[in-house]
Amino acid sequence: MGQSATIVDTAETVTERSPIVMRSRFAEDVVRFLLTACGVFVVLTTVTMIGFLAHAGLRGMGAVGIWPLLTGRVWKPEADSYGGLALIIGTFASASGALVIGAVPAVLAAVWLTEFAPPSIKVVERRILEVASAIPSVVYGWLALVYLVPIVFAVAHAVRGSDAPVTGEGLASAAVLLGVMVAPTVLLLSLDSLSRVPRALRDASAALGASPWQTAFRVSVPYAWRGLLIAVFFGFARAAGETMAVQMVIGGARRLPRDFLFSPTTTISAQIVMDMQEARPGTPQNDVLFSMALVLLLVSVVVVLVTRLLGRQRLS
Amino acid sequence: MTHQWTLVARTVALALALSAFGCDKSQPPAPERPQQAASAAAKADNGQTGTVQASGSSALQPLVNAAKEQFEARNKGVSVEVSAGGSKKGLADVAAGAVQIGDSDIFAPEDLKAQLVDHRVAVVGFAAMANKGPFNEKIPAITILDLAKVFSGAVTDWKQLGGTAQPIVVINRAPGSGTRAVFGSIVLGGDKFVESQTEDNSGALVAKLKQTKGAISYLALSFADPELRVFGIKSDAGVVEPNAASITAGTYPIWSYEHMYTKSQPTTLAKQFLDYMLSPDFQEHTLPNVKGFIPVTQMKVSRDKD
Amino acid sequence: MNTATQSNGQGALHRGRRRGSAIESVLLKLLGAGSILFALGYVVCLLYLLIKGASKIASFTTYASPLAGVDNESAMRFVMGVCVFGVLGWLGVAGVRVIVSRFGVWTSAADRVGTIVAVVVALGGAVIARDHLPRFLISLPSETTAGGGIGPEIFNTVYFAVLSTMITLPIGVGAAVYLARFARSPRFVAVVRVALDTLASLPSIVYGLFGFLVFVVEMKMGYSLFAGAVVLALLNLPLVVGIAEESIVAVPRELDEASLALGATPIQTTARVTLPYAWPGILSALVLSIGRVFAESAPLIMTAGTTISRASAYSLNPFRGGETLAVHLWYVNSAGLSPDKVDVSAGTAAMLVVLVALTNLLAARLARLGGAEGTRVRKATR
Repeated sequence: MGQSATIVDTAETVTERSPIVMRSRFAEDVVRFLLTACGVFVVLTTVTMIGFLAHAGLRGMGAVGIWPLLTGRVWKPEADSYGGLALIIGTFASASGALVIGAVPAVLAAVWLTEFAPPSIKVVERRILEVASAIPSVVYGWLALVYLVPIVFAVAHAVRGSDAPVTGEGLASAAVLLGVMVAPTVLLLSLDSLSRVPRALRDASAALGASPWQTAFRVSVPYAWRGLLIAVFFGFARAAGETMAVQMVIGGARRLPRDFLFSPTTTISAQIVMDMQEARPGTPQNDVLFSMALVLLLVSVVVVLVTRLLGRQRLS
Repeated sequence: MTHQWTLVARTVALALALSAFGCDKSQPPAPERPQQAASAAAKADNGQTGTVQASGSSALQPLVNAAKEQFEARNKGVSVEVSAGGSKKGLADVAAGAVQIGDSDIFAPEDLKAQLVDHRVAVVGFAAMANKGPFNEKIPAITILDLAKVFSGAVTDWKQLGGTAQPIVVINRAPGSGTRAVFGSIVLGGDKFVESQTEDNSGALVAKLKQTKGAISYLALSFADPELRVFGIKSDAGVVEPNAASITAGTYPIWSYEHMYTKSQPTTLAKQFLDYMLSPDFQEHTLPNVKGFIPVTQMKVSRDKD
Repeated sequence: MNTATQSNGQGALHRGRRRGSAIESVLLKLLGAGSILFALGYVVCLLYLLIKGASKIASFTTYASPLAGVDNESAMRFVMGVCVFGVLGWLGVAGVRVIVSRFGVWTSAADRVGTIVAVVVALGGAVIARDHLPRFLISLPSETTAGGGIGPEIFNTVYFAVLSTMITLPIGVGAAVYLARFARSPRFVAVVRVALDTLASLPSIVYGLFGFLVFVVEMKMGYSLFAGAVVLALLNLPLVVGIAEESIVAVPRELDEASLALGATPIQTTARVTLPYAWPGILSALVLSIGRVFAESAPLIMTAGTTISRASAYSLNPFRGGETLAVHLWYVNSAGLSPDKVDVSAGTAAMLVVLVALTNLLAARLARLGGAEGTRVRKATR
């Protein structure tokens, strides 16, 4: 290294005085500066956004109090009552329902595709789900509004009685919609992590006499469980943050649902969008919406942290 | 890759082939702008360009759209952008400067009144409308007190109003809706609605009312539908049906002005648009043709606040 | 398990006799059926959507559709005509190619002829049938009456893709190059990575709130496409930086070292050696980000508004408001009063699905051209 350094140094001193090199030196520095500026810009933007969110959100939390905000039952901004319990429960319930309805079947389907399916089916299904995962969420929301809600309405009345005060909108519809929406992404992520299982492991298991089923569920899945869990968590975060599609099918009643599955309620993001339309910047109504956005951010941050933790341990 | 392209090609070809059945052989649409303007006031076209942005009340929207079509026809370079979102959104938007005109069914709140100028362009009546069924056949009208009980959740069954046993399903408007605010302040004395499902889209609300047994909600009269039961108001003086006559006379209480608010110094174009909406030409020729709206000048009673 | 296989030594080979294998095969069949149904479900939904919307989109008018008197409308009609007839021409050529390959050989000369035919059909059709295009694709939307279309929305959607890519491309690729090649301090790199992770985990409404406060209220710009484009660019930044960085890191070090040894400066190396090599990966990242632009609606509602105005429907001015297809789909269903809104929604959704599918195919095609493999493939197919 020392010798080449001297060669380079000599070369530099020789060419330094050439005007072409001087100009490109300057250009080089300018470009370097611009590239660094890009990196700085990213950091600045993040700091600004988090700062502005935190500033307004913490102000809102201060005005209302964290405990009443998180556990109050009555959300009525026009009456200065900010109880976000219904919103938080709505978000968690619909996202968890999405996990059960969408993420878990997606993981199982990924296992089947990787371990048991003929390769041609795997390729075709992968292509289909890549397209399905890129479809905008409002499209799924609209399909749910027009086709799913009437079906759930009929089911609700069949299950609870034809005179019961139940509707098609509510947590059941939201969970199904969110499940259908996150399933393709979860499946693709699971496929990725399952494909990293070393072939040698599978071969060894088969050599020991295990059936494909046993190989899959006692060898591959345990090996890839972290990646699968990351995929499921990602699905949860996406379902919790979904805004417009959920707003179309959740009913918009700012209270805990009377009938858990079939009664209208609301979620954090849907309520933020609905209330933001008329809240004026600087007022407590506006600030409290940012506080609820902070709560949502907390959920995402927790998911990201868990993902990182799980990912880091995978040093095999 | 060829296989993939042909797969896609086949799918799209199939879709298009099926869609060929939807070949549009219908009549050509009516020209998009009325070529024969209602009056010879087409001389208003003085080559101005620009945009007027308005947002807010969905109850007012049909009227503003009618005005927009006429105004744009007379001023070719001007475009009027109208979006809904609710009266409170309109007020917030105009106060923040995001739009030039805020449409609202309600008076501006105290803290905004100072910076906004009110223009009352019409009067609109509201009524309680419900799903038509045998359970409320015998109820043509309800007292204001009973309406308040229904919408605040104190009364939960149609039999308590004189019909047969059927649970009442209240469907509310969104909290930002002016219709909700007006109905609330006149019938309930404030926003004291029972918290239930919200449906803010008037078209979807009408559809829901037709479909859900026992459902009841409140809408502007522009959305009255023969398949819904529209309730009159019962009082000691008798039954008052909601129509233009009773509203202008003041016997039917549930009505409000349609306000179009601007900031104290509106832009020239916005002012022109509002002047057009308040002009006798519009108020006497176009407004009566839009269902559910009443000219302010015909009102025999007036209000200062909601 | 081991004892079972040992005591039943031969049973390990004869799977039929192993305990539980019957249940296993049943479960296996169920799992397989479930997975296939899972994918079929999506296919059915999307095809149904396409068919329902396609009848609205593709209904060619047999009479001349009157011009709406909007600026740039003829240009828009021409472009739309080129797209529509281009697709038709390409489909025709692809169909012919399938048939000919079945019975004979499809040479590259025939390929070139096919491309030329498709182009001619596209341009010719656009010129001839300019006034008879599908009404849905070129008319303005209508709030209260039937017969509205999505022409301006399509224009706005594509314009958004262009605008936000113009912002994401330099900053995203710049940050990726910086992180991969020019970063001096590991701590700053860690800070940038944490910042990117944070940006990636913010819910999209937060971007909308930010854009609304900064651009619409503080800067008093009103609803504008510019605000929406900036917000979308920020939204896509983590994605683009992540994938671009991966592509740049995947460039073999030997290439860079060879370039430096030949006397190029680091910047010249990056610009002329590293980036071209990593370019297909970067391009696929950009295409993915465009797919995201098509899909977002909440941030745009708060920054670009939900209106289409007659005067600026097809204008290139980025400081006017405008709604995109996704926003239109939401708006029509939540605040629209038009009687045919189910049809309009179906058409809008179908258009979105078509755009997304095209973008995806493009991304898949580009991703295959990455790396050394890509250079070879590109040279071979020239």
